[in-house]
Amino acid sequence: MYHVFQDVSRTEEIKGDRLTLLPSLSNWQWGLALFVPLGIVLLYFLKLRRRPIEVPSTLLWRKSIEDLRVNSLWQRLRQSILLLMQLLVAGFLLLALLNPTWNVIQTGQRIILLIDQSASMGTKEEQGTRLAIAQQRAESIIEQMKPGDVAMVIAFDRSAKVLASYTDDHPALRRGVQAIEVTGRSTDVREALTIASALANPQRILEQKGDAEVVPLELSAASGQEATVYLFSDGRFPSASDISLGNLEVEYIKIGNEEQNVGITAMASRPRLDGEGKIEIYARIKNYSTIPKTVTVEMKRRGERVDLRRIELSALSEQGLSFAAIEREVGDIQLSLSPGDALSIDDDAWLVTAPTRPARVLRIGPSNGILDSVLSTPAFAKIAQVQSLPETEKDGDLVTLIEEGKYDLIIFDRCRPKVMPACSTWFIGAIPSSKPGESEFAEPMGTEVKGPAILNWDSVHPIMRFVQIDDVAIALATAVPAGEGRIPLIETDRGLVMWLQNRGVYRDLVLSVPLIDAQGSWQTDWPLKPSFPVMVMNVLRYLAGIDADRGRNLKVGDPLVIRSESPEATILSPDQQETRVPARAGQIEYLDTDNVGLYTVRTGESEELAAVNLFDEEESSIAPLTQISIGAQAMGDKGSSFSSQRSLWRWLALIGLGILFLEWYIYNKRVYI
Amino acid sequence: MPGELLSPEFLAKIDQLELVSKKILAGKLKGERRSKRKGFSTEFADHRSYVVGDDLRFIDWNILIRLDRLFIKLFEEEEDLHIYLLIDASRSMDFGTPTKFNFAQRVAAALAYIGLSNLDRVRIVPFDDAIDTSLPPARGRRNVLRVLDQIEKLTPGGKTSLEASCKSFATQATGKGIVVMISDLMDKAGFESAIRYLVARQMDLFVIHVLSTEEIDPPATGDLRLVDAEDGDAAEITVSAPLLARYKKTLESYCAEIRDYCHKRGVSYLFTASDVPFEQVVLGYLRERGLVR
Repeated sequence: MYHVFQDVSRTEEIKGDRLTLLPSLSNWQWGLALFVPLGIVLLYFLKLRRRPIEVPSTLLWRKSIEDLRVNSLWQRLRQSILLLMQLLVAGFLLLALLNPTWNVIQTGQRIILLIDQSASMGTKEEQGTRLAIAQQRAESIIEQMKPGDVAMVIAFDRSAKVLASYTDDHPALRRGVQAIEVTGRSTDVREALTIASALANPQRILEQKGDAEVVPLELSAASGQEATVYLFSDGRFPSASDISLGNLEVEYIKIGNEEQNVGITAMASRPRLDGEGKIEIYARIKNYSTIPKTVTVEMKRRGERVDLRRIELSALSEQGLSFAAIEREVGDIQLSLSPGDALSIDDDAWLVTAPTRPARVLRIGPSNGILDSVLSTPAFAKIAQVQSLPETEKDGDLVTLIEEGKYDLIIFDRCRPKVMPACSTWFIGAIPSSKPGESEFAEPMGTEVKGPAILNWDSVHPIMRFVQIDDVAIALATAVPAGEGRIPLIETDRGLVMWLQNRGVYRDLVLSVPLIDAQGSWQTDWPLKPSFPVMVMNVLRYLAGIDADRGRNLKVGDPLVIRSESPEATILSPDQQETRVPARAGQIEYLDTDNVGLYTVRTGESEELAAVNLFDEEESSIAPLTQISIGAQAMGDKGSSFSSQRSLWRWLALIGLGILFLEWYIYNKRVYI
Repeated sequence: MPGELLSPEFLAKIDQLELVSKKILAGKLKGERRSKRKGFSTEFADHRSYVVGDDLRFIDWNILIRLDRLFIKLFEEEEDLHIYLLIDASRSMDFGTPTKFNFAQRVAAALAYIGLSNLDRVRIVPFDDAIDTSLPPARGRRNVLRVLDQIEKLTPGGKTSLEASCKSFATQATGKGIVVMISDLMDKAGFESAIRYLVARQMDLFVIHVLSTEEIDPPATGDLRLVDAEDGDAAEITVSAPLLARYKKTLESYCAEIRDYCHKRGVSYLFTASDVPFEQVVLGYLRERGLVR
């Protein structure tokens, strides 16, 4: 019987208007359901135990009944009209259970529902948010699954999460779909597709509840089972053309139509150069709409309005704004755009500011008149307190010094420590270990070169901003090849002589040219050029963090890392959720920065603020793409076939209910039919 | 007690009424009633031509002198009236709110009171499948309480047999007068022969056909087994709008049939529901139909 239904459902298509039956009951349930009409008929005959009533005389009733029997067929029909109606009700309800649907998307046996949960899916459309629409459509696919079909649900933003692994349990799938929430993160479909492709082959499924399971790309090609992937997204993600789809068939279902959005794309503070300790706030506002927009930008500090601007943005244009200078102190600044638009997550931005203080710089190494004279000028004295220690101190109590947070930057002049300090460093005439914590190099790095010619420098990098070195000559330097994580700043014909390398949250800048040698003779004429003090100022600003907002300003999804002595911290998110995070190795790491807004971190007595913003052009640009390319194929929106698909069971159930009411009315009111 | 069936206010209202017969009637005693029969009272009624054998004492001499023709003076004869109140006391009368029987009792009580007040000879005759002749006739106001008591003590029960009851009444009744039959006329054997027997007695016949509201507009719903209270006959019905419509139509034509049958035979017919106030029936409907004046 089951197979009968299966076959019926799969061959019921009527050409032109496709009506498909998607029975929602299993065999034995159908068996039971078919007993319902039979039961009604049985009950009808059983109920004919009539209620006896004594009447004065049956004389008139007898005459009436005899009259009625004259046209008995129709009368009998009328007498059993209630039975007929009850059978009709049962019929309609059974028909509703057969779930006839117009223009069904023919689902395969294995279905993977990939649902975008990135920031742009929070865009408000007429029917609700994009995510809500995607969820609704995903549920309608679940509804259409035939017995034996299995599906899984994967939500993705820049990472992916399996919310329901392969199952035919519709409620579990629906729960999985409903559990998806907009995260505010950026989008990357690659990981999701990789997981989908890996899980498409059941032999490779290693269930790991809750968390995404990343499977190497190579595995996907080997999967033996075909699966249809329904990708519900607005298509706003980087192209995934290098991914191999294997035997996955991807159907892209475009979600959303809204295109009009204005958002804040950047916000930062910079100290005013007049040195009065004030900062200026800068922001960039972009109109992603195809029509001009006028918006009001309001700046608030600790909830109080500081500035209000009204700007006009032509279609698809961007405008930078600078606001009134304010005192640099601990606090938060919020920018708000009004009127609101379809995507609200980029209509507000926050910035956490901290009071300025001179950078604390320590120079270790033999005396260096050139550097000392530069650092001791009044301009530098304003922004940095420089302390000098002889070379012997280089391995002294550095670790203790730094752990106390005493220095923002340590300059190693022609020397290097055995243990790298926990702060940013600047090596001059020496090269640090590329592996922090190692005391000695196995072999000396780089090669000593004489008179290298400067070929190129990164004038865009903050350290090299406004620096012109085409007239600089170098007598001696240690050149290292590019790569291995070095960010080149000055490149010579023999290799890099100035570069930046990252060490966790710290940065190490290396200038392999000793300004002077042990004998005091100059190895470069750069200190004589105007660009040298500019470069030193840039280094102090960049590495000692003078310019940087001392407050913690992050993007959505970035980890919030705070150094703390305290064993744990309480983090209050913008939606007022409190989370306790234990410290590990003196650090508190909080990863759940999925919402934009201010996060408050409480450690012991102290409290710190952190701002999390979207600042993602890809997400703010909400116009959905009608075509995307995944793997080698470009694919268009298959959502249109969705819109013409109509499930009829609700109507059938409604008609059944209507007949039931009519039956009840006829029974009680004795309506003449 | 009169208070039970008739209120003092109502009694006051009907005190001045009398029952009227349309036919010339003769009674055994001369009563207060002016009969249609011409007789020997002092009340002049009419003249007629003298024929041989007439009593010479009634020749109108004045006319003889003036016209030279013989005329006899006719005087109205006052006489008493027989009033028979036939009350259907079958089981079927014990239905309705108020019951049809109760209604019949009250109407009968009112008519009996009027009759007794006018020195008519009133006899209560309850019947079901036969008449009950145990109640003697009464005359005069002093018997009011006794008659009302008789009426009140009646209880419904038994099967209806209109024909048998009317036949035995017609054969046993003495004298002429007014017959008022109060019944629901629910007799599967028919009502026609019964009325024929009564009409044959040359009596002045009034039929008060009373039905309960429940019979006129049945409130029943669902699948029912209707059991006849008198003969136990059961009719199985499924109440539906067409059946109810058909029932009402049947009832209407049944009543129309009785009415026509009565009218053709000079019988006054009154259809009423048991919940119509009986005062209204007595003071209104029966006055209209000339039973009371």
